[in-house]
Amino acid sequence: MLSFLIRRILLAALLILALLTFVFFVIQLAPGDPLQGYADPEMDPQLVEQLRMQFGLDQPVAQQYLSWMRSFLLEFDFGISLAKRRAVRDLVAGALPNTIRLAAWALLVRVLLGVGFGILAAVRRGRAVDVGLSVGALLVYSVPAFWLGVMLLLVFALQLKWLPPGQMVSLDHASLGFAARVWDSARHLMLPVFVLGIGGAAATLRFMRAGMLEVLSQDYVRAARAKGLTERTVILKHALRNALLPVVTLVALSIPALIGGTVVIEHVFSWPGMGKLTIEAISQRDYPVVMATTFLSGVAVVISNLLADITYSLLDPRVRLES
Amino acid sequence: MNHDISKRRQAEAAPLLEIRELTTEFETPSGVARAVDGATLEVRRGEIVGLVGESGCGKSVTALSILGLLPHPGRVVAGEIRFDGRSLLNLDSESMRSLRGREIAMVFQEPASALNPVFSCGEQIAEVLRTHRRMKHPQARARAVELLTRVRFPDPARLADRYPHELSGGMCQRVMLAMALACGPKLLVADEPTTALDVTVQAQILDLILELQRDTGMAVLLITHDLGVVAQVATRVAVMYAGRVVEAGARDALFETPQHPYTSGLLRSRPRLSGGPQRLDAIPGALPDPTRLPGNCRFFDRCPRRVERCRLEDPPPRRVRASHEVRCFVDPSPEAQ
Repeated sequence: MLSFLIRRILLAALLILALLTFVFFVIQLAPGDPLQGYADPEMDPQLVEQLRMQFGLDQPVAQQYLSWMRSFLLEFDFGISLAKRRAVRDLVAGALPNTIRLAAWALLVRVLLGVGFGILAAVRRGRAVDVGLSVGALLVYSVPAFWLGVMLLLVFALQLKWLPPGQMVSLDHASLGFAARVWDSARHLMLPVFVLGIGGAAATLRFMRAGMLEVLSQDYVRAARAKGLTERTVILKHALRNALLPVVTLVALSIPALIGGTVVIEHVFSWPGMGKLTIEAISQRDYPVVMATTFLSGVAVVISNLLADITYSLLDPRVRLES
Repeated sequence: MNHDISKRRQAEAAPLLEIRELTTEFETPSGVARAVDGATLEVRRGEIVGLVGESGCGKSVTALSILGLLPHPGRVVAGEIRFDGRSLLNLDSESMRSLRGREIAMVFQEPASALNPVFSCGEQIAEVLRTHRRMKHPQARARAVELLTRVRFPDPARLADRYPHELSGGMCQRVMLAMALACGPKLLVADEPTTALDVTVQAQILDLILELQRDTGMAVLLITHDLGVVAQVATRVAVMYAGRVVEAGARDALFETPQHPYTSGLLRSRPRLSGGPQRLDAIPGALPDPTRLPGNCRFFDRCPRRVERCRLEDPPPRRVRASHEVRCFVDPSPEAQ
């Protein structure tokens, strides 16, 4: 188990190195010069040259690559945002926790609803509950998230005025007591978490249902019943553990999408997260920020793959020993 | 020995398992398939009954009907199953569940796929004890190790921690047997327990079943298509064809003087070691379509001894000896053999 972990972690580290290199050279391939957008064409060429030296852009590419890698990996120094004139590290440090907060709750919604209702649909196969859930899941899955978000805002925030129309907290958040602050944050989370989680929950439900149905027809499920185990044990222990295996992969691989791809949701709900940061940076050709966010999305992919591997090996002894 | 005498008396009193006119159907898109059609069978305490027949004759469905484990959409539509004085078909699902694994245990044809791949062997035995005997974890685990010793594992404590994919088919079947023995069942239903195994391993498993049966006094319903297996271990034999038992009797009587042409056919279609190379006598034809079972004798189309009456009527059970019954009109006189 330990050697399995070490191997996977080393592999993950290698992947991150490769990713960094890739990001660096792709940006190098892009036409133009990072300074082009910002330097006034009528600026003193000497001044431009000075700026270039300041940013290290006069050095050979290999040299730039090495120093960039060094500051990136050893100092977590992602450079300075060209548009905002602030350290990229600070911008990311401000946005990443917000996105993680949103993504973590959405993931929870996804797993709980998807797995729970998936099991229910499989166990009640062909009955009203199953048909209702399957049709509902298909509907939810087909509705685009931005549309659903806007509609929910219209209904719950603008018409009914039950929930706030976006942002992470109310303006008077700081002046509230502890319990009121928690409630205020929760109210702001509800709609974006729901919109972000429900689509994934629908997909997970379909996956879970299919996996469960397949497992329920296996010999070992019949054998478990023949042992006189309660139906609850048969379903929630013997069948579930096996049916979860493919779902683990699906869910783990959706984590990067939640971290990097909440762009639309963050926009609809004015959520100051990574998605918003990335979109702004792209439209402003803010290369250091784009590089940092791209890199972080990549890290998210590598880490969730690692998580999937670890979870998988915990669930399935056959994977554990295949070293 | 007193113990033996009282056991024998008990055995003579009432059969442990009594199946009367069992009919089990599956509703399929192409019609209602009658997998079992009026099968009658008895298993007495402490005996090994071999239930023989070709694939698709209803052996396994009979077994699953006993345990109430018919796969969807199968259901018992008629008949009775009595076990130890109780009618199983009227039991509610909770009583049936508590009977399974405790009083009636089952082992399956594919031992490797009957064990759950994600739980250790020890755990899979221990959970039976926790369910039926309300044992705590350490106690159940200790008992599981003991049970693994009884199915001849030299290092049972280590084996308890191993997973099914690390074991051979024979080892898996021994784990299944340990699991079946866990609560000291009165009846073991073994559905083709050796079919998926190598010949040498088959012999080991049969030998083990015999030994366990002798030690515990449990009855065994051994389902197989292999007459060789039956000849080795069974005390009585029931031959099944197209959903019903066509002949049943003591093993020796049945093997020496088979009454039903199907039984004779099965005996002739076995390969023999003596007499050099030979053609096997296969029975021509195939089982009738279970969605359209004929009203006359089921074996009519394939029967070498058929007479006109067989075309029109369905033969009822006929007693040949004290405990030898057959469903055939034709008396196989010595020259017919």
